[in-house]
Amino acid sequence: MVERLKKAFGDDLRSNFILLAIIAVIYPAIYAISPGWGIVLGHGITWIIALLGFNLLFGYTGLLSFGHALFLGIGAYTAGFMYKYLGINSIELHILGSILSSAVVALAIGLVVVRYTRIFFAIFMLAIAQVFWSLYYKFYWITGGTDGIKMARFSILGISLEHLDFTTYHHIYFYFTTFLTTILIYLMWRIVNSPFGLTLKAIRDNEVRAKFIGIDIYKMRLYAFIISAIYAGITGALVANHHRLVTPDIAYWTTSGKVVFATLLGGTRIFIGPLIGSFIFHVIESFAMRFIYWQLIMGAFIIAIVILMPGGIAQILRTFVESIRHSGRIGG
Amino acid sequence: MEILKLVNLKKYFGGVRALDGISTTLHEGEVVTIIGPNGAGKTTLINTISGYVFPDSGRIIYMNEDITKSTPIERVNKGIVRSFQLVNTFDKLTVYENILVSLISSRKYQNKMTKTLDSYTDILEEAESILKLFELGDKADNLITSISYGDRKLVDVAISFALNPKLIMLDEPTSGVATKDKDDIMKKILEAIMKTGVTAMIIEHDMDIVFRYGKRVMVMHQGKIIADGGVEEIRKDEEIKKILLGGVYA
Repeated sequence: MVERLKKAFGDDLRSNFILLAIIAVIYPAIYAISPGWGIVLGHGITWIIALLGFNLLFGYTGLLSFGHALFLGIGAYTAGFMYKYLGINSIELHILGSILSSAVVALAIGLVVVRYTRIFFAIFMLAIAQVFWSLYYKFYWITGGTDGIKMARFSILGISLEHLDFTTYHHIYFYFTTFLTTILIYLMWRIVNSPFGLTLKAIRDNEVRAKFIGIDIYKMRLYAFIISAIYAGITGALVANHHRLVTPDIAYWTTSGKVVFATLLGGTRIFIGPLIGSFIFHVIESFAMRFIYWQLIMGAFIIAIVILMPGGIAQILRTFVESIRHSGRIGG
Repeated sequence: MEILKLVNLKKYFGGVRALDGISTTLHEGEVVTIIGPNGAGKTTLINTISGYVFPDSGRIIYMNEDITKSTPIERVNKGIVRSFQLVNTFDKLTVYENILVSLISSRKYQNKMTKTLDSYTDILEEAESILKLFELGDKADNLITSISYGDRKLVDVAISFALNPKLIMLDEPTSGVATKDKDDIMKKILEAIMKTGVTAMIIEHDMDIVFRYGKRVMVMHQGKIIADGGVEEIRKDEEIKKILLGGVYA
């Protein structure tokens, strides 16, 4: 009975945690060889959270948000404002604050936008995100405009990290974020495998039938939207602390594009997709940025993914792992 | 006991009278087959009772309650469930998950997001018994799109059954299915109806099937019920035969 719910590679928790563990173990070595690549891994671990949130909406609920930068912006500016106006530099409080603010904003916006689907939803989200971006940009006496908000180093558990060397500081950031990401992956995994999660998939596959088996589609979508926003908001707060600078860029449409692209790269139909996508994206990005026309390289990658591997890297990995397991079974 | 009472239901689409004063009564546990040529208003009737469209006038009384203006979800919650003429399933899910979704909705578990499905043994057990009822057990783990069309039709009906309905309306459960499989599907569906004792309204085009499995038959033509009675009575009626065949062969 329960065997029917058994998960294939990538949809089980184990494969997700193994991947995280591998990253956590190799990170110090990579940082020791090249701090730059260590920081890239830091980006990778930070963005997983936002991509997971995005994919709850896209992969599981069928709503493509082309404006997730909205919530990254809310999260980042919440952290920025908390530092600038309240003098708070506790990363835990920044995260709590961003959870609250992104949930409130998502509730207000979600009440309207989740009535729309497909291209209408995507464009609506894009438009709202751009409005928020222009607010950060124009209200410079509050937000610092393009100069942004510079932040001091965060404190953790009430302990100031100002006196530490940068390497130790970054290590603390990395492992704190890994810890947080692990918890959030676990929570998201439970959500997508709960009755609620299956209901979302049903809505994604067939809205009309879902309605006629008595599901309140609007309410389910709103819940998914809010959870998704909270995840993006948390990444926003983390990015603010990682860069120690909040600028309108985080809320610009290119950030939304990054979220969409990185998730597609990893794969939207397998749980581990965003996890893989976040790391691969940041690795490709740092390679590509060495060239003047790096956007061209990224663009070529997008086209390649859409045409050659619509299931993303996770799908390729799953096929690979399953074939090994299968051949092992035959051989043994 | 009366379960459903329709009072002078009317629904016009422009000049087309899809329902033109439908009045009838269904009793609990009754199985009614609705026949009629294309455009007779059969599907509109089901659409109206399920809340897919609202009637222009007339009333729908369900268990002594006026539900004419209730939303589809309210009606589902009251036990009025329908299936669709074309297969209408959740296509990226397995057969098992398709049925689970329906059970989740019927138990009002759709808001539960902190525990994974395997801890809800009540619905998992019920899903097994529904799979058994429709003999779908060996196909349960397959993607719904990978099984035969006839089986998908069965899953479609099983989804409706999982909602634990009091009144089930099936819109041509055997349409699009190969002739040799029709009997098998109809048998399984009728067996499920008998076992659960649900009141059922079935639209069917295939006269062989109707006359073989039907009990009470309702004939619709141009938005009206022109005959309503036992299967033998309807079969012998020459006038009805002319209308039913005329639509196709005249």
